[in-house]
Amino acid sequence: MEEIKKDVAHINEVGYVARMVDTTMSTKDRMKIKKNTILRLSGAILLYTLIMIFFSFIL
Amino acid sequence: MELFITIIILAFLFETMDSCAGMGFGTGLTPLLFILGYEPLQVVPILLLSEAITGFTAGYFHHEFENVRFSYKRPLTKATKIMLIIAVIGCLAIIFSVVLTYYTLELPTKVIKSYVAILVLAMGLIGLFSFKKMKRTYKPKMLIGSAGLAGFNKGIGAGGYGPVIMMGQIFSGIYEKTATAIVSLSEGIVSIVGFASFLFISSYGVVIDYVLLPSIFTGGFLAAVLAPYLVRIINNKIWRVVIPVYAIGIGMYCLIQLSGALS
Repeated sequence: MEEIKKDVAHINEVGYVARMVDTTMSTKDRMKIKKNTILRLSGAILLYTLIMIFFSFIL
Repeated sequence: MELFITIIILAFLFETMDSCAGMGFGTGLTPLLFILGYEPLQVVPILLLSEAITGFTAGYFHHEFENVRFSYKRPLTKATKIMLIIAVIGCLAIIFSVVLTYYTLELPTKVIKSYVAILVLAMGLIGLFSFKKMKRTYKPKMLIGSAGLAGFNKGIGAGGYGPVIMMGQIFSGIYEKTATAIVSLSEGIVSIVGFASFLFISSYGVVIDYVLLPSIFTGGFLAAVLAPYLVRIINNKIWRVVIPVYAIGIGMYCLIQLSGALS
């Protein structure tokens, strides 16, 4: 239990995730985009479209 | 609704650098838009509104691309706590600057802007020449100090909030990629308060012109999605050099602008 707590604390350290990505993955691996991320990027495009439609109505 | 290609490109470039290096959107784009002939009420509130949306977008995608780990539930991660501290100090600074404007307190603009330009330049130079020797231990006191200093500068209307916060985080031992992500999200929160204060002023008869909003938002939004990905794929060693060099560039740009060479 103590070890798990220590692990979690370590993960929560500032910059831990970014440091891990840099040290464990090559540039080529870092360039790969996960399926979930593609979905979220599509969500961003949808959000952009909705905001622009909103602007076209109010401006 | 009209879209201006030049404005979209400028907003895209400055927001890309802002979301990659944590600085430059307001400091760099505002004077350029003034030079292009736009009025302060067409520029400042629109940049704040756009930065509010793009700050949250960039923060979200920095988290998605694992440049940072934010949490919205307890226990909050350290990065979230730092982001909130920086955001709260920034919000207080905005409110303070609005109060100063309300009481029309005259501060020697050129002197305080020169002080911030020199401060940013010096921080960039120190960051660039000491990055190899710099100890990477987390120093929370220094972080709060630099957030206070940046907030004070913003509060007296001198700007340079992003560069001072960003360099302050690096000096406090925060990993560059993570520092960029923290600044992006905290600037989003600060910009909401900034825009709200403009709405407050507009209720007293000041008219905000939204003509630039679709163009600035388009360029900024695209950059806010792309920049976190660039931060992820480019190695931190490169950001360690690019960020202070960009801060030096911004400091010099401010000094040149103050000397009147750009106007």
